[in-house]
Amino acid sequence: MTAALSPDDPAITARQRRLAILARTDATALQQAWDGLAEKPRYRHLKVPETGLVMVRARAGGVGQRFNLGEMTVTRCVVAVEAAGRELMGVGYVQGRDARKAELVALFDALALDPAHAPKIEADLIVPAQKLLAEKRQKRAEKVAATKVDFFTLVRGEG
Amino acid sequence: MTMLSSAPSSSAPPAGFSDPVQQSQASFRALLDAMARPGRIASIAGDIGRPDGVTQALAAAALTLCDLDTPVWLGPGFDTPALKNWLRFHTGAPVVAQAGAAQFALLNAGQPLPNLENFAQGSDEAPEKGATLLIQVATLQGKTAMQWRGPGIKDGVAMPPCGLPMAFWQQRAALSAAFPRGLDLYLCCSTDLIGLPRSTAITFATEA
Repeated sequence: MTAALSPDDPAITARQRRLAILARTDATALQQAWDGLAEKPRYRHLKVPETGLVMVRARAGGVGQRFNLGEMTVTRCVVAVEAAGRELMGVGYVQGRDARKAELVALFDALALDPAHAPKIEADLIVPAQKLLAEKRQKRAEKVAATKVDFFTLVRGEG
Repeated sequence: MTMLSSAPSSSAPPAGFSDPVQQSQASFRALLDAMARPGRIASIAGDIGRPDGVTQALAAAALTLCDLDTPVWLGPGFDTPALKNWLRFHTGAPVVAQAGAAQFALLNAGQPLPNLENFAQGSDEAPEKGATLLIQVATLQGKTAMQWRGPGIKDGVAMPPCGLPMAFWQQRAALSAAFPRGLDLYLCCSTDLIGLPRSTAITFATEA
């Protein structure tokens, strides 16, 4: 077994970031990126895509008691991709029931561990997807901000 | 790109069930039937990715029965990183160092077997805490050596030693006295398995 993993390991935080972006990326964008690969790697399933429920827990305001927010449908998949004579394990967890999307996320996760594929995936898939996500978030924030209501009380009889 | 410490190149375990839902249910059914009818052979079909040296029946039983809440102990011959990785990856079961702490034990009859008294037998109040042993044997055939009697067996069934030493069978027979405490066993060979619950009493041919 490998040594104990630290959550601060830069390789791990980079992978978390990548997976977070991939999981939120549109399935068609992932499929297009996959179709765009010059050479499809050979891979096998370690866990075929399966759908289940995950309990989402939260703390109000990020502090205080933890509570169960609710259950969420999640599909996961684990693949082993052949790259440069070895097998790289990739995992994909996505919201909803899209099995192919979970598979694609897992495939890209594995490929991104391969130095030969990593720069291309980062440039062609991750960075544009991240930009798109940021734009979406910005738009939503603006929409929400436009409907903001300030509550105030008029004070009578002043002066 | 730095080397990712969480994914060493050789860590990808064999695949497990290719169709987890159907196969685990079919396996569970086979395991239930085998335990309900001691001595009758149940078969596990389908394609199961597993580490070298592990038979189909044992792999199916382990994947079907073990989960996050069942500590597993690996006997001599099975205590390998490959098997540990595979089991943990697919079932999430914690692998324990103490045989007595385990709910399930994977044993290889090709290696020296530990004393059966080492395993958790449960208590009179909670007999279900007794361990279940999955034993991989070389054969389920052989010359008749004993009679099994008990629930699920009409009259009695003549059984071969199933590739296990007579000392093992003597130990198992001695456990009957402690019923309802005891151990449940699955004997796995290739794609076949036999169940042997603690309720089965064993008498040896010479005593009959």
